[in-house]
Amino acid sequence: MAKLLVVDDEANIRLLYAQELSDEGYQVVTAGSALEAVEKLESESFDLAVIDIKLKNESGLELLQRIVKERHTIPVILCTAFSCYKDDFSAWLADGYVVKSSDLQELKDEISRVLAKRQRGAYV
Amino acid sequence: MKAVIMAGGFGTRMQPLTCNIPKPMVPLMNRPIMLHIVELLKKYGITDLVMLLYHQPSVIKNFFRDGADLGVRITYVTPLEDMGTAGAVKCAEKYLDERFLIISGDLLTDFNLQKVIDFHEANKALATITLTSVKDPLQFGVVITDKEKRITQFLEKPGWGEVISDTINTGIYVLEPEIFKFIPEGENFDFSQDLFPLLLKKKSALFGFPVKGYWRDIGNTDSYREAHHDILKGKVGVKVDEPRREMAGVDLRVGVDVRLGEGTVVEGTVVVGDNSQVQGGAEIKDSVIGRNCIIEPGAKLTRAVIWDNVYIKKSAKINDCVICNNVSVGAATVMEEGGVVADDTAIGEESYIKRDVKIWPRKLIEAGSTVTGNLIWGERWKKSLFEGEMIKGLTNIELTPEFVAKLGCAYGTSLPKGSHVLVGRDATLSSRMLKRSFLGGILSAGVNVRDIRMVSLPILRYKLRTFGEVGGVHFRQSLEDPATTEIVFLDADGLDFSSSMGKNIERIFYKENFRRAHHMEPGGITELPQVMDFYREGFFRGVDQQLIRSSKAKVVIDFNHSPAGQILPQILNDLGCEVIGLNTYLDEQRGSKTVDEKPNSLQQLAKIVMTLEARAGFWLDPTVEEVVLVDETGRIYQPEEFLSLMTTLMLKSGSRGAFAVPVSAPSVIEQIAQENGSSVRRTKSVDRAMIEAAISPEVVMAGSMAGRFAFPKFQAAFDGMFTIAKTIELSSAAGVPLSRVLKEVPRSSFLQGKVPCVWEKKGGIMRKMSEDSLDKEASFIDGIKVSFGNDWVLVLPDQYQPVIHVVAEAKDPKTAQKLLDEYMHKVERWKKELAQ
Repeated sequence: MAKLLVVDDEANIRLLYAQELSDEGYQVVTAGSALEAVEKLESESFDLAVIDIKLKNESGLELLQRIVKERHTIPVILCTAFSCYKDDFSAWLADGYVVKSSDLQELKDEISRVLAKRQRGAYV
Repeated sequence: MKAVIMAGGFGTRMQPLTCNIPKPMVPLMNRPIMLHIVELLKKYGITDLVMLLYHQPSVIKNFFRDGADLGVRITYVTPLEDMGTAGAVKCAEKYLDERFLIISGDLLTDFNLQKVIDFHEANKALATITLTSVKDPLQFGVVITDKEKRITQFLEKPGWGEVISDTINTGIYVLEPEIFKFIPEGENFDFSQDLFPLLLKKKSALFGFPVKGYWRDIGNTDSYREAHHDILKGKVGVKVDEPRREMAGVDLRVGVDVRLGEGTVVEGTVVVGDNSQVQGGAEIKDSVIGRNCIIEPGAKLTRAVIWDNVYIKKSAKINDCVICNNVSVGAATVMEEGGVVADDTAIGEESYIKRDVKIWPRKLIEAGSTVTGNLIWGERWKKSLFEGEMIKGLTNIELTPEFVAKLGCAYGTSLPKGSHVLVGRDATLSSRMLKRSFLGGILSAGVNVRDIRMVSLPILRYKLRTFGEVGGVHFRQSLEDPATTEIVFLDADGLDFSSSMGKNIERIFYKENFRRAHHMEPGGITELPQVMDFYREGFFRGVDQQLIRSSKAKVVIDFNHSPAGQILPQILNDLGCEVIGLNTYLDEQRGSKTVDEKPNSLQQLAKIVMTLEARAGFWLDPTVEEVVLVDETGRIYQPEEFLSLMTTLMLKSGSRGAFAVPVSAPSVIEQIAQENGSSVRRTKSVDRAMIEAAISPEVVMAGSMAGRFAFPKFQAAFDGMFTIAKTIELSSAAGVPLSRVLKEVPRSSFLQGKVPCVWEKKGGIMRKMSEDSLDKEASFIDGIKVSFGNDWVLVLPDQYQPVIHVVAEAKDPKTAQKLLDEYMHKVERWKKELAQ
């Protein structure tokens, strides 16, 4: 069972994502801020992180930079209400980019795609 | 009365039929076209002939000689330069002192020439043009006459709006010798363009006489095939040399020593030339077969024109095609209508030659090929487009803009509509040209392009591993052959295409099953100007900047005119390194250096490293993936030494994890890794297998046997620029010169050899190797590797070349040489056994 870290500053979104993604068979851990996410990343291992770009007073892109630098084996999907960050090259560090929608299918598809990509690395 | 036969044309529109013979000698019912003209003239008592030659005159002279065998007298005139039709006749003026007739040597007609001559005489004409009515006069010269048949107007090749008559000039004229007064000497002068309009202007006795009958200008290959159809249908009567053989319901003409096997099915009109064999079970319908041909059982020929010395193998199907001299058509090959195969070509079995495809002389079509376009200059048509992850071919010869555009359509069709692909190229003009064509194809399928223009492959891969694009394509000049372009295909993760991905595109390409976007929905092109910055950022994150800065390394890098010269010196300077860059400038015309220049470049690099007392030298190949290392003493490292050294340096710097190396890599790598609590993953030699291994989270480095390295912390793909920075970082961490580190690496003797081996025998060789290895410790990851304690030997068939590689490693050079020799001899012996 893949373990996901969902980082979003809105409690209801965290609740919704945790519920939906658990139903998909993932083990889901949530964090409400970048700081909390870093703490969880230091104490637990994850297979994938889903990060919102706008986190109250913090930037999801900075958190992304930190994960790439310190734990480059964890793939990251940016999940944001804004599509404009697609053109920001600091967002390109992510493995996936999903524009938030009431239909979570796109996010679910992206998670399974990125996990499959990671899984493929176990080839030899 | 004399006649002039115009036989000087090049026959350009008739290519490839006329690649080896002049147009008047192209066979029509197994006889040169011009022979039919001679027969026609003879029929009307014209036996004194002047043949006007120009192109390949000896072929015509050797055939007709003085004409005595045919009952005519021939005088040859060969102008030294192209004088135009009338100008050429002027060259024969001294032989034309009485009324004479002019006719083209590439006509098929049954006109009553006597009627034309009689008309001319009765009207006391200076010139009479023979006219006829045709359905489509656009490609001919239209002629208008008055009631007395005097010509009043000419229209050369009119448009439909200008057509005022369907009566055209047939190229058959009757002229009086006085006509020469109107033709200037030594000038290019044409009958229809210059002479006749001049006569019209001067109100000379210029007449046009319309004739009924069959008339066809055999000007192109379609017309050539249709001329045969007309003869076979009986629309025009021509002499056929082969005598008729009685057979109910069939018009069968058979030459001397012809064998028709039992069970051969013959329908319609069939001509079989001398000494040809049609074996039992073949089906021939309305076809002409030349001399010395063999048609095997099951072959099916419909409306085919086969020249001499043609071998058509079992079950081949040829429908309305022309096959020229010395051609073999493989078993079960299918040729669709309109096809032309020129001289000296071999078509492999089960090939598929699509409609209207023309194959020029001396081609080799590999078995199982599908030929969709005309094959003109290249020597072979490959049965598969892809060689691994790439398509390569001679620039503008095999990989033409139109071919590449079609390839773009096929690639675009394989991707989701509206998706994005990343496209880049090297510095050469040819790569830019072909890339632009390719983009058109992609856009037509409704797929968007992010054009990152001139960029090295590692940068393109680096962007691809992020979101946004479903694939990438890179155009570059081949290192082995500057005339060749390589198109490298990458998947959405920046990995090389797998064979199944390539096959998918090939299927679409050959079936031409393209998705064409609606006119409002073609793809768009955008640019990603920030890609370089993105790469730089990642690059800095991937190395220990502090360590490199503090070491203040001086290094020499030969950039080989690659795009890396535009970015790496700046990155290394920012990291505090002193970079002496060689060949950093880009030369679009010259392109990259070739593989032949490599040894010399390496020697120069080594000299410069020693002279400048640099820490190391790096030779970066033009693809920016491969690196050759030169240490501070000027020693040029072999790839296996570089691999062992990098593994040692990684372990010395504290990296722990798995090292991915190919089966052919030295076993000392296992020894070094195990001593340091790390492991080794053996992979296949192909780049994709190594890169896939590098994606695994445990892998800290992947290294090939060609100086290619991937450091997954930065990117899992081979990257020569990062390899250079990493080598500087690791050598700084080691704190000792590279030559000292190499001394610490356990050494073994490592030898490689190769045995030439045709494709068909590769499987047999590997079966023999596998039988030979039954009682030995063997691994089968890639080829067959047999271990003898710490020593081993690997027998590996090359994927793309007709070669078997043999690699041996042993503690001492003598044992390694013995192992290598032993297995190379074995392979040679197996080759001979398989030939028996």
